[in-house]
Amino acid sequence: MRQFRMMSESWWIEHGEYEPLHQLNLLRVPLVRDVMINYRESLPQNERDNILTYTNEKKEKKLYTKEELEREPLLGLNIIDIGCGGGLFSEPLARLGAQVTSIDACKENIIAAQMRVQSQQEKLGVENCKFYDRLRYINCTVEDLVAVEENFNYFDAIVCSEVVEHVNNLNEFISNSVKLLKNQGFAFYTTINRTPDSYLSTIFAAENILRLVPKGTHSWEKFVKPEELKEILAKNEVSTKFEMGMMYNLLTKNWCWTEYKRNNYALYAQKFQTNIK
Amino acid sequence: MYILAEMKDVVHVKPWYFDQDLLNVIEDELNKKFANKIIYQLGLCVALFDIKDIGDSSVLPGVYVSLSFFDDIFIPASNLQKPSRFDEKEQLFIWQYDTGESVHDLYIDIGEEIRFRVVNEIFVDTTPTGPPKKNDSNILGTSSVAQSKEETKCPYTIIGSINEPAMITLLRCKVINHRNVTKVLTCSKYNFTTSNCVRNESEGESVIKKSDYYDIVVCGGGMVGAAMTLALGQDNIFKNLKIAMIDTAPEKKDYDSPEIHNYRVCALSPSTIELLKRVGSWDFITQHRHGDVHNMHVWDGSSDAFISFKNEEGSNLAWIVENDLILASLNRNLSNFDNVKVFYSNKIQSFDQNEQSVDLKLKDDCSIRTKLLIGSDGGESFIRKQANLDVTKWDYDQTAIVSTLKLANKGPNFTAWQRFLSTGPIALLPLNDEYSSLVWSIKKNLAKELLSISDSEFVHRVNEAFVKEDFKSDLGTGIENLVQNGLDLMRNVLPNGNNLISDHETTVRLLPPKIESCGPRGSFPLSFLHSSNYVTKRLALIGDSVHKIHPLAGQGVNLGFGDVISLHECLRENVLSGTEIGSWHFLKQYEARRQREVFPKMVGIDALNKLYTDYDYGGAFIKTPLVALRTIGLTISNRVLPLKNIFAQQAMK
Repeated sequence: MRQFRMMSESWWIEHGEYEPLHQLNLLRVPLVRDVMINYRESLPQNERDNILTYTNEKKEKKLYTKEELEREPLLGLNIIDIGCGGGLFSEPLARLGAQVTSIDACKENIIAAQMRVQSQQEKLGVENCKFYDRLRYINCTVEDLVAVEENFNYFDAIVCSEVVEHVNNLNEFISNSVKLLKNQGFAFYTTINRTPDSYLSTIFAAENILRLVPKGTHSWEKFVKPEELKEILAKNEVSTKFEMGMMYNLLTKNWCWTEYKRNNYALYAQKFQTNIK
Repeated sequence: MYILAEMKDVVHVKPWYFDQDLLNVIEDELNKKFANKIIYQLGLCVALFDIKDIGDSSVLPGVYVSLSFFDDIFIPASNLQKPSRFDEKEQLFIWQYDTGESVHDLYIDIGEEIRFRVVNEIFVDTTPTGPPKKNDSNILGTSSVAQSKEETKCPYTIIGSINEPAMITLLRCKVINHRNVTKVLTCSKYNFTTSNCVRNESEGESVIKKSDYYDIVVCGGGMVGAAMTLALGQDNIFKNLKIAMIDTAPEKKDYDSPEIHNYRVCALSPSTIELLKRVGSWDFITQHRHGDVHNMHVWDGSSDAFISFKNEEGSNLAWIVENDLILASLNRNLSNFDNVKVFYSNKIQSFDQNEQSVDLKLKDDCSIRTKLLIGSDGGESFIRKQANLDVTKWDYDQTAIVSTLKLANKGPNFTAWQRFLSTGPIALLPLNDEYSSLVWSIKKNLAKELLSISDSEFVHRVNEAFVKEDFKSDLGTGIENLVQNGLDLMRNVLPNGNNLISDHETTVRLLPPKIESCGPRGSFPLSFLHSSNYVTKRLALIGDSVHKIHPLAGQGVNLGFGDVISLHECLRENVLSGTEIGSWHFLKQYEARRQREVFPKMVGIDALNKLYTDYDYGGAFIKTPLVALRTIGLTISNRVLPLKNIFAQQAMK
């Protein structure tokens, strides 16, 4: 248990070994936030009201007010974080108001993430971090979720950050995961391109020379080209809306958006189901 | 000595006592509850005397379960699997499970392990409530306690449910939710132990003192600190965060505008006014009083070189407001926000920074944990010193003397006057048509004398300082003429020259108003201070705690308010990015933005002071080129319009 606690802490040290992932939040969280605000605003009135309705303590149905939405712009939206790790991406989304379900096939990650929640609640008091109520960590795979039909068309967004490069059967993984998505919902991916450049930077430099990540973290063969990802998504009636390169500056330790997509890139796509059962 | 008190209560007899004598059980329960306890407005209860009446009883059907470490978990019959019934003979609940062909009786045996879901938690305040007030007149000493509580008081009870097939409501997912059940149990344990407690064992018995949590703590309740707290408090984005301010001063009472202005005043720049408007304090200031600066006239003591600024678009160059009034306008709004708490007459005794939070210990032994500590505790900042931030600092060999002056002639008073004397700059700031405020920075040895002389003598010296020829230098006048002529020539020769260079104002030099009398005099030493870092882990510093400058440009407090605006902006971005408050990236951003702005200004102002203040060494040998340099500079700045605009903008920021 102590080991997990240490592991959980190591995920959450801003300048620790996961610093690049912390910094990546400054790019990916605003991206998801802005896209999802637009998504909600573009919904027909009745659907939007449906999302924005909640039941308060007195069992009354209420709509979120404009002020509440300004504070927590993602209120009412269901988001699933596939491959959540220590929850670095899930937590900011929950803090922004989203109802986040975070799954990871690795039990250690889920325990570390839950430890983080518990230790925060212990340190700060449960009432001071209420947003954790909106966050749920589950140790399971996408396949487990699609085994239950009620989970279909449930989520407004899928986020899948730095995961697809670790997946064995990408086709199956994508087709399963988008089943969870509502029609019109968005899927967000960030991953690494399969190019000579990425071999040099991610495997050769980061793993062998600079030792930023342990050896064997990535295998180059599993990296995904954006064209391939787009093709698989299109096969599943999800059309890509945006793709952009991301660059990590080792000196300033900051990520920035760039046109250069041969290393890391982000992509999001919207589901357009043609025949709804 | 003893009195009999009549009380009425509802007693909950637990099922495991059902086989015992009812009267005994009730007696035990009552004694457990009241004996040896102090009852409000009654005194110490010694023992139960007799039972006068036992009313109707009702049965609360359901199952009690235990988590081994926690027993008060009750599953009411309505939450058991349906259909189920109670078997009188076995004293057990039975789930009548319908297999489709026949009905099976599934017993819920005692000691059996079951899974359940928490549907409700009940916290009950176990401190006894007193009898109703109307019984106070009961002279016989008997009073009845009518307690309507239907159950025995248990500080924390969990209401569970097992009436949910496969427990899938949590996520609508079969496989996982079996595991989720166990998770719910561990969670309830964490809610149960309130673990942010500090055990304080110094007082013999262990007193558990809870450490308070605030997302942001502002240390220092001066103008800048209060503005920071208010800027955060009034912003909707921060409504979900708890904000605290720690002020060494007691709570300020209402501002009682004294007849004569206090001598401590600030020249507020337009951007500061914007901030005060945003936090809702400016209205209060305009309801009271402030001086308006429409024009500014700055000139050299050694030559006739001068520079003057006018408000072109009808807005003020600056507003002169008393420190007390600014403070009052900010403080009165602090109590308007539920999420803002102010600790008055308190201070931080020590603090401990770590990766995740800062733990503070206050003077009154309160401990506070926070995600972000904002230090605005002035030039001698305790927080900066404790955080070991490097500073560049030196004292000027100058003291500022301040006072409120009465003008000899009542009339329009909208000009700020400043003259650079070889002993330091002297400035007159308009308050209203009768009064102006004086800021006179002067060498320390001379200041001592000025503070000791009589009021009338002091007034005389002030008047003299504004008009008397200071350090005579023909060279200065000569150079000024030369530059003026050169500029005239360029104006005529250069294309577009009229737009670039203004007309040579040959009108008679304007003179500041004559002073009639002065109020009390105050003084404070002048120093320069700049911290190489404005932020460290979970800590940001604002205002004088990281930069202190010479008052000659009236920029000190405006820089502090600038910090407030900038930090507020960065923290907004912090919150809207979903990141935990006080994240390093955003603190660093504040530092970068602010230092870029503040440092050049500080260096400029310091250089200006050095340029104009006389040095004791060197004599005319050093003085002459300096006078030449500044005369050229001032004259050119005044007439070359693009350059002048830059200065004006800098002064207004």
